[in-house]
Amino acid sequence: MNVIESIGIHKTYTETAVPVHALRGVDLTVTEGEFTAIVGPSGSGKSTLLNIIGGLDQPSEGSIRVGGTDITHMKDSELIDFRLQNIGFVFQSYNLIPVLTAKENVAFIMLLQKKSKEEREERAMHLLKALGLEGRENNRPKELSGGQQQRVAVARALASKPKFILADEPTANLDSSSTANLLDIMAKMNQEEKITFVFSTHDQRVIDRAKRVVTLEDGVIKSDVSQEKISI
Amino acid sequence: MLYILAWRNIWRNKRRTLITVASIGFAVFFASMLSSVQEGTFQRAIAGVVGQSLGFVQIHKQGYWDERTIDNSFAMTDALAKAVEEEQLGYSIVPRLESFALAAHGNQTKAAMVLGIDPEKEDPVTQISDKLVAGEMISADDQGVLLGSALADYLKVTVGDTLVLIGSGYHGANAAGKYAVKGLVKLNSPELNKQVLYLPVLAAQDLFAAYDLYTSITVNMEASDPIGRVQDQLLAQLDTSQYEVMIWTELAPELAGNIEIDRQSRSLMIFVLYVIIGFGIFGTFLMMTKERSYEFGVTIAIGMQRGRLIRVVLMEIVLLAVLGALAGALVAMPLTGILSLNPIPLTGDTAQMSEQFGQEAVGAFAFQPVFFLRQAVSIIFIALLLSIYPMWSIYRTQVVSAMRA
Repeated sequence: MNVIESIGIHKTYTETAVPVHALRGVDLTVTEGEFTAIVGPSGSGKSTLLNIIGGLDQPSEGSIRVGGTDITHMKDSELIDFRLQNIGFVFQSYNLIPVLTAKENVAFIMLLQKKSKEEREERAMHLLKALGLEGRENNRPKELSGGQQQRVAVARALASKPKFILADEPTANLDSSSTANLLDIMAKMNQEEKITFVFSTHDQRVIDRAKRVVTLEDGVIKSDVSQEKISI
Repeated sequence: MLYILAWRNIWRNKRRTLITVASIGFAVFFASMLSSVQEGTFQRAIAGVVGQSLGFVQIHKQGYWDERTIDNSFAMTDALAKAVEEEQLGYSIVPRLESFALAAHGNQTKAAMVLGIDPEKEDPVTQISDKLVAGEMISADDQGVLLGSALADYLKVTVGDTLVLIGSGYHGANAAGKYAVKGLVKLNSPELNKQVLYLPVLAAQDLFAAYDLYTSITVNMEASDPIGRVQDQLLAQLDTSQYEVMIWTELAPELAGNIEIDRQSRSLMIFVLYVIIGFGIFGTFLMMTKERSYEFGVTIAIGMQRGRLIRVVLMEIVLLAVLGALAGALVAMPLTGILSLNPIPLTGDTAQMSEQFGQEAVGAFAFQPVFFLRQAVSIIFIALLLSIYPMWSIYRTQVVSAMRA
């Protein structure tokens, strides 16, 4: 089943004196259970593509379907709700809410989904445990290491039971051991729970673990390679 | 959880929050104290001039107030008596006969305001007996007088002395009499204290040959009673070609005018204060919004509707304003409460100036919950008004731009 279908995506930024063509006709389909890395040099359009796939930005041309729903022309409030129900985000800088504990950060997204308190508590604890954060649930982000914060961010992304998770440079601020640990967890989730992951990354360690590597250059897909298998 | 989030958010920057709360608290404290001291002074002035002399509603013969002579006195007719019945009106009445006479003792002479009163009815209104500093209260059938203590000092009389009153009576009749000084009173209004002399109304009618006549009927009311409604009721029942019904603001327009001007000045001063404090609050809101624009972008990105995010920020703003207002009110309330019970005696030039204006030389404070409530509501309203900027800012947040910042 196709989770993401982008057809002929163009994105042109016209705010600058000279229009910038960030994407020039990108066709990309991601099926359920993929572990895909979008790679490319700076300015190649990775983040722009991820933003459009995630419903954070709109294409200048083309259409984007997520789980069969065309989100190209959705209204802002509809898109916010769509993201809440269907897409999990992991950002480079973790972006946890600093005044909430690890458990509250994970439960927060379920609160937005109007889940009951019991369900929020139970799932947040389950996810934190699964991500090796048991005992850290009452710590605030500043009391956690970078790797731990990013694992909380993954737990938060998973908490909403999304169709897929978009991760923008998730390992950029992590040391080697935290990166390896995070990748292990995400690969395990992908293999065991069939959760679809789409990364944008420069990190070779992530690229090495991806099942599929899509390379962007100057706003077009230069190559799209499937790798045999990912290691856990 | 959203309430918890809002509460924790305001404490992200403790120092800034404390400074904001303190500045709001100061504004509420200052404005409350200013209202308290000003209204306390007004209440004293009204109590001194209106409560102890004029009363809040007066009935006269038509034209009396423009030409205040004893010739414009009136009799208590059946129609008038019916209109002012306590069962009908809801308030008791105090009839008076007021005129002027020369008061003399030994070589001292002074023009005095002679107030013919019914001591039993008058006392609940003006509490003269409470102001006795020497001697005793006069009774209805006495031939004795009560003098303001400053008038007594000027005339060099004391209790037991005899005072001579000479003046002009009703329709030019001679008015002359000798009266024993039964008591001395110290009135709150220094101006009245220098010129008032109380006689039982029967003795005053006899002195001025104004038998069964009165110059005014005062309705026994308090400042907080429905003065306007009673005036309207009386005007509807009385023949207005014969009688006039005036309330205290018409009887003492200078006092009412001065109070109004002072209130306007205070409002202006408080407005300027709030504008200054408003800039400070706005600075905080501006920083709260700017430093979190990235976070707002992320929060919207993960699925929080803008309206919900606005509600959280609005809660933070209201919490800040309420904390500040509470802090200010909690300091001002006990302080004004204590000061309202213990007025500060004024000395030196300030005291002299107060007395020149006919006011008691004390710094009086009033205690009314409405002072604090009004300031709290004002500051919350200002905060909500200023919150338009953060609300607008969140509403306009472009997720991608905010997250790129």
